[in-house]
Amino acid sequence: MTSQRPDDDETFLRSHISDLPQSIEPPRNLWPQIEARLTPRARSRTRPVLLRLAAAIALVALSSAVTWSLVRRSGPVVTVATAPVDRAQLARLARAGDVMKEGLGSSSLAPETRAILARNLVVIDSAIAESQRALDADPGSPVLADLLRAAHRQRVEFLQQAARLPRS
Amino acid sequence: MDPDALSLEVRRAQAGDADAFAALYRAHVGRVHAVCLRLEGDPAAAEERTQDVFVRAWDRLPGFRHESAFGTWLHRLAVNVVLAHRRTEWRRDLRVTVVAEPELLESPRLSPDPGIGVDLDSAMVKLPPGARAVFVLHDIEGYGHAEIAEMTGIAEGTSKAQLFRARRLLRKALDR
Amino acid sequence: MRPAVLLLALSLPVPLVAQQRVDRRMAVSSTAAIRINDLVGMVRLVGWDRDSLVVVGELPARAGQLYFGGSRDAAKLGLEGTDTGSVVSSATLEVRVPRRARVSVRAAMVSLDADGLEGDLEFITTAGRLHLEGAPRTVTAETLDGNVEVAGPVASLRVRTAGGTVVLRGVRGDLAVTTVSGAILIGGARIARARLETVSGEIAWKGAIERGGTLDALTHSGNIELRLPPTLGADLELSAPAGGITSEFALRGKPGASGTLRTSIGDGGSAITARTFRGQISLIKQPEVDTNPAAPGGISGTSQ
Repeated sequence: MTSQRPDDDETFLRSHISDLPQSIEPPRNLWPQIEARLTPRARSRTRPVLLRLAAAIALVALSSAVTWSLVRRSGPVVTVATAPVDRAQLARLARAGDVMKEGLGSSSLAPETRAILARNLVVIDSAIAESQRALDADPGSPVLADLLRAAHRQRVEFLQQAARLPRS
Repeated sequence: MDPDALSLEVRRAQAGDADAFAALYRAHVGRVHAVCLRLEGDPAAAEERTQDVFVRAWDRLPGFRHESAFGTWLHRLAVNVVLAHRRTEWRRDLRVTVVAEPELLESPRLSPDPGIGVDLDSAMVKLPPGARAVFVLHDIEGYGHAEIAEMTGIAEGTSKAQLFRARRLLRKALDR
Repeated sequence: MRPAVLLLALSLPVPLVAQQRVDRRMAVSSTAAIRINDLVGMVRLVGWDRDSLVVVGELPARAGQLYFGGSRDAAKLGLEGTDTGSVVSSATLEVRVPRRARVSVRAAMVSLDADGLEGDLEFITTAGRLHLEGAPRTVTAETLDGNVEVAGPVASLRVRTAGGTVVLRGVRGDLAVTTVSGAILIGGARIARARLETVSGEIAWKGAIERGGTLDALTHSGNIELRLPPTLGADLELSAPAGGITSEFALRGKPGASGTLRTSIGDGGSAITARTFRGQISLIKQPEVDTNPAAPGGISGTSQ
């Protein structure tokens, strides 16, 4: 007979975690150093905050632009062993996934299972949406077409797996 | 400090009363220091971050809208302060090195003293920084993988992998 | 409660935990097809050198009743009447099957530890997990939200999980792993064919590829790290339009449109394809790749 043991690491660690102290006092009083760094409240913080906000927005915009330019960057085309974009095939895959999703919607899955399915479909659907946007911006890219096709296929296969799940 | 008194102290501190803020420091420093210590894994760094958290809290206090408890707000701030400070190091650790070393799952190098039992806090110190961060955020602080991914800039899958690895390493350390 | 009533209540012969002891046995052929359905809790599945099927262990009452039977070539066991409204984690069963049996395990929520198997294993679950050691001929594992760990030279391995992490050590032959968000971590492998796919998870590979073999790694938003023998000869096709490619191997050429690089290392011979839309691809020389599953550090130290 197998020996008793927690069924996984999470279970094993749970009791250790519950034993952790919520509060650990620092070994020395930090207040004097903190107090010395406090700026008088009368000084307006509005301008720095707005500046930081503007800088953050600029950074996000720059980051997006860099990513986008990387995705779309032009240059000498290297031969890639990928199939050309087949929009009809993509549409068929998307439709197949939608039909399976509808079928699962009316099946007798437990609420917890439905929640897991929903959570993972969000991940897949966002990957599809992102790949689709990239392909729309660069319609001739066989790699982007492959990635989009793969994401659609993964969605169908995931839903097929869900359909095979034990119902108990 | 009871909640009503705390709320009063918060409002006084928002108005610029440093004495009230000192009272808030005394009421919350242990909790803030605990999360800093666990995320940093180093006592000296934890002290520095604890100071940073309270300085940042003082700066941001006027914008606190009492929509959550002050302690909750301060705790989230502490996590963000540590993450911001270590983000570059963690992201490198999380995205490249750690996940790609499956052999580390097999031979953890945690306890420096074989045969001597270690508690969870001691074992956590020995974790790689990225794995420690995800473990602390998920299993101790209760954040979900999506939140962790958002806070640290890693993929959800990476967060899960790090958590899996951290738990495995910790379990082996604690099993000794 | 009055003292007399309390005394009476304490004296009643009602067990605090209604636990039923299970011990069932039957003769089966060495390659029998064995179906195991709807078990709960922790199950240890052991391949042994006898032509018999045995199930022993303990079940709480709410785990339901065990059914057990069949012929020499096809046997079936499982639970019925399980209280689905409660989590039955205290059930512990050990199922012994002939080593070369063909075993199918289907259960919504079970923690399966398997070793000693040399036939075929199919494991389909919703939130259960699998930990397998040994060298079955084929393994098919599907779990929606549980981790899968396999240590051993399985000749043909198919793993599919959504949120679980997949850890494989010392695998051989033909490999296909698919996840949605779970990471795929592989060490000490030597394969002829491997297809690793995830949507948002990481892929980490450490191992060798047989001459003429193929390794395909695809993730939408995770990183791909491939630790390969320095002497490996392979034709590479690497696409990382956003995250870029880093390599300790000397790569001829530069990524072209969409960030794709097609090149070779060594004298070619194997084929490696790696694609990630948002992540980074890293190629690392791993001189000490040990593909011997029996070597220390190869598969030792798996979860206990």
